[in-house]
Amino acid sequence: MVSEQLSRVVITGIGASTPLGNSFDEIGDALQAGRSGIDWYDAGTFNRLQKHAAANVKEALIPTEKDSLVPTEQFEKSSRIEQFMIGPAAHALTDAGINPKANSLEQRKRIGIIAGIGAEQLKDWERDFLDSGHDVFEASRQPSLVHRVAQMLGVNGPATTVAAACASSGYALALGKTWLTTGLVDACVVGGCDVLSPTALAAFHNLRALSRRDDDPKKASRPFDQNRDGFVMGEGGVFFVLERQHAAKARQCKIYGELAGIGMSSDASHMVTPCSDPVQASRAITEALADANLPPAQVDYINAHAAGTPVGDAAEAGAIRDAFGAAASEIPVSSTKSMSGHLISAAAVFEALACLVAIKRNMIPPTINLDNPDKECCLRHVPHQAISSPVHVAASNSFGFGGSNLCLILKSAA
Amino acid sequence: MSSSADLSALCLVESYATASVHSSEVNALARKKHSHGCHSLPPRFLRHADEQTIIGMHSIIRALAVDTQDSRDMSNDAVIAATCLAGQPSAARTMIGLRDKGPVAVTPHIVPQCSLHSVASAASVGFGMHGPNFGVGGGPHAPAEGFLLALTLAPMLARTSPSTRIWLVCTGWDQQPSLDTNGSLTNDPVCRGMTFVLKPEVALPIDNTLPHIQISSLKNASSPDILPAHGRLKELCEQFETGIHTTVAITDTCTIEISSLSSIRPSSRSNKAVCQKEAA
Repeated sequence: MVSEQLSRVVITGIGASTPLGNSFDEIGDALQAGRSGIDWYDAGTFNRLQKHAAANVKEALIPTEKDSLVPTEQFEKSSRIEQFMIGPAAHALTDAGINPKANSLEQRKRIGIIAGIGAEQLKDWERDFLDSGHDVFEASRQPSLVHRVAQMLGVNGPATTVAAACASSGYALALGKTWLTTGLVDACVVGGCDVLSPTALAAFHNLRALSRRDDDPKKASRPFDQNRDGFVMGEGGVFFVLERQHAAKARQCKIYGELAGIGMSSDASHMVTPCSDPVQASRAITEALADANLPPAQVDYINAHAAGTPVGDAAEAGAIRDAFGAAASEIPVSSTKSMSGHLISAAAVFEALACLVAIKRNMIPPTINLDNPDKECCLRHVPHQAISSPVHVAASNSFGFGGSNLCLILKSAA
Repeated sequence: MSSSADLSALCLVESYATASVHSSEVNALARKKHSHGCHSLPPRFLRHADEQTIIGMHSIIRALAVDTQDSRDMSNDAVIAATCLAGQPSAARTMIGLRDKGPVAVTPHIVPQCSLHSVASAASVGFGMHGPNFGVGGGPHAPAEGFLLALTLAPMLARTSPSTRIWLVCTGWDQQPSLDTNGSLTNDPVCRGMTFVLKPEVALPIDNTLPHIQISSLKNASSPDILPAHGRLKELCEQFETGIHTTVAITDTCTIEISSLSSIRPSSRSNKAVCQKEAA
């Protein structure tokens, strides 16, 4: 059995570069105010439509002198996806009070890093191709982004990239927890990043997965609304530092919350379309609650995956009702994608961050644009405006192409 | 920070198989019926699949063929797919289409079929596996990262779902495809797949004569006998075929130990005929 000392894992550092801001407080303020980070976006020469609604990051988080892990010059030379990893990962380590470069080599080997990135090579090849490069024709075996960033940061423990489509960064958190509970590392940098790109916008558009509303970009992302017509793509990067609770308490560092439970399952139904039978998505939620040793009624807030697609939102509502039973009608549910857009690979970790905001502020962020809740999505919604409510435990769902289901349970540190 | 804790992650190897095919033969392989016993992929399931997905599914079928269990229930199993630079030919053709004809030419299959999760998801959907499915690696370190994640996921699965097996599928090119500016291949590289069927174990120690993989700590993992984490899949497969114990470095002090797999090599198994048929 995993000992109590090994099994409790907490979040001690956060770094973020998102359409809603680049700090925990800034993002918290946006979520609390119901402010949208979505706007018209110019995808350049290869625009699919005259106007694309998208949530882009205006200014990437730059590692400060205080972060001191990556020289600004090196950061500025990096690609956008690299910046969405370097800045947040460096800041998360600083926030946790860990400077790998000041640690001994032995200590640095006990810090791991897991990045949730769904299509890193595709993005690299595309960037190079649009810059008249030939990498996609003659691909080289260069180390993945996570290995390059680990070296930059002085993180010498195990490093890996994981992908479960839109649940990728949630899997990074879940697997980071297993690295800590199995004793592989003493601290783990976990999260995900993604960038808006012409190919991704065109591919999701051609899949008919994106919203085609062309009136007001801020109204395009409409999770659970009966007039929803697809999701709005976003970009950004969010990274956490995970540590075992007893070690974090011994260091007397700030603790944002506990990653108390993880649940994972697969629909095994279709490569793209979510399964209309909620049984496997529901199983992921149930397993996460069991892992956290909590009954459904103890959950104070559910951050839904709900991206605004007609099939996905209804399927998730069914899974929530199935997993939470009678408690489903009492627990407030919202989708922060209505404000942030869908950060794809980074979505799950961003939404875990939203849960930590909810816990810290005892506030439920709203689902904006939820004017007419769909009868198929019958839940206790929080439309338009945030509400004050005690939040000790939050559940965050993430579902991805290929039928990946993930649920994370986050608890207050107290 | 606290000192190192002993890691007790371990899996028994219940089946193991490799597969390889030249790029020019991939389409023919995709059209083949992929089945063994009660398991089969739906017809035309691989019609939009990437080369590494096709070879990955083929290596799963081969692993089923040498399996100790005649009618394995895969419904609760997890699948981890470690791929290296997958999707390159499709990406090249997609980008040429984007440049020449605009976004309308971008195939919607590029996201579900050419991303890091694609091989794992295809295995989950194709074989009906309801455990976790995810991709790992993406670059040269992929096989080593796949072993590491299988082993670190194992204790949780062993505790919560003892009947669950982990299917670790590793894929990659012996030599990366080379394409001209029209997106046509100018070489005919070998695409390779390798599948392990792993049974997570909680209790240690185990009978060392059973094929197994485990994580171990070393003071110095830079010995010449230890394979580097970024080694090619071909070299790893060749090492396994020799039937000797293999060590793969994860970090300077952490390695994956893979015991001899000779007892599960097709030539030593009773269902030799099946394997010979498969090979034919």
